[in-house]
Amino acid sequence: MTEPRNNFSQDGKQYSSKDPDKISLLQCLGAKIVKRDTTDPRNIVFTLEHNKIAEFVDAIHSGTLGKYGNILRADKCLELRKQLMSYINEVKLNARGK
Amino acid sequence: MYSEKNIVFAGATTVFAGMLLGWTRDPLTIGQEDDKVKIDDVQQKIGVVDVRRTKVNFIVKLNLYEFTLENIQKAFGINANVVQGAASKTLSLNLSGDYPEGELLILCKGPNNVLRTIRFYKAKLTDRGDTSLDAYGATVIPVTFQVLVHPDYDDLGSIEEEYVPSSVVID
Repeated sequence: MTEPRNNFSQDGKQYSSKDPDKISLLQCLGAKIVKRDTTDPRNIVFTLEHNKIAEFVDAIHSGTLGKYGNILRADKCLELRKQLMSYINEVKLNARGK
Repeated sequence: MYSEKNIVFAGATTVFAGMLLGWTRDPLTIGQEDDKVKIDDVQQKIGVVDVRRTKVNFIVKLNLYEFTLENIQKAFGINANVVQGAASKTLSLNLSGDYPEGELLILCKGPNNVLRTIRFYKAKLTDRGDTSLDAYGATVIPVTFQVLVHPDYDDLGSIEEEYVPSSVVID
């Protein structure tokens, strides 16, 4: 049986993920990236912070993002994802060069 | 021959080719459609089984909220405009054209609040319902994707589950 993994901080204000799609969604909702763990360049783990981060993660997985109205815009999410992918690819390339 | 099984218990958020498509509060359906051939139809009957599967289609069906038509238009690079009618919006699709294929990501929940991420490496929009449905006081559009085998992975996709710690209450 898989051991439960804790991706939330103890106070519930920080959340870690390596999924660029989910991270850009959370950024779009107002969460800020506060930490980047590049130990494994193929799986960079980003830690995001927001007072409502647990609520945001729940809304993403419950299909209730509509309650945040116009904050969540597809073009803005796409732009944030592009920036994120650019950073991820840069880290991967640098790691390959070493 | 058609069988389907609903494997998602709650709503979901959908991302296609990096573009946020929309979300649904309805359970979505992941189904399997088999094309079978009866050996009786073949003159030279060889083998012990009389029905053989020749093709398997994996499909994903979900209802997206109407305003995501603009997102579908962008994600699929559709030239047609979203037409605003008196009571609904319409986006015309000509499925004979080449539509981009991309990674389909479904962020949803499983039993016991498990956060589930279903990733299909390669999917294609195959059908959009002609009529919109009213659900939860909002208009939603039925959308169907066909899941294809990605040549690099030789696989359809993956499912990741993330356990929510009991210290975090997210109800």
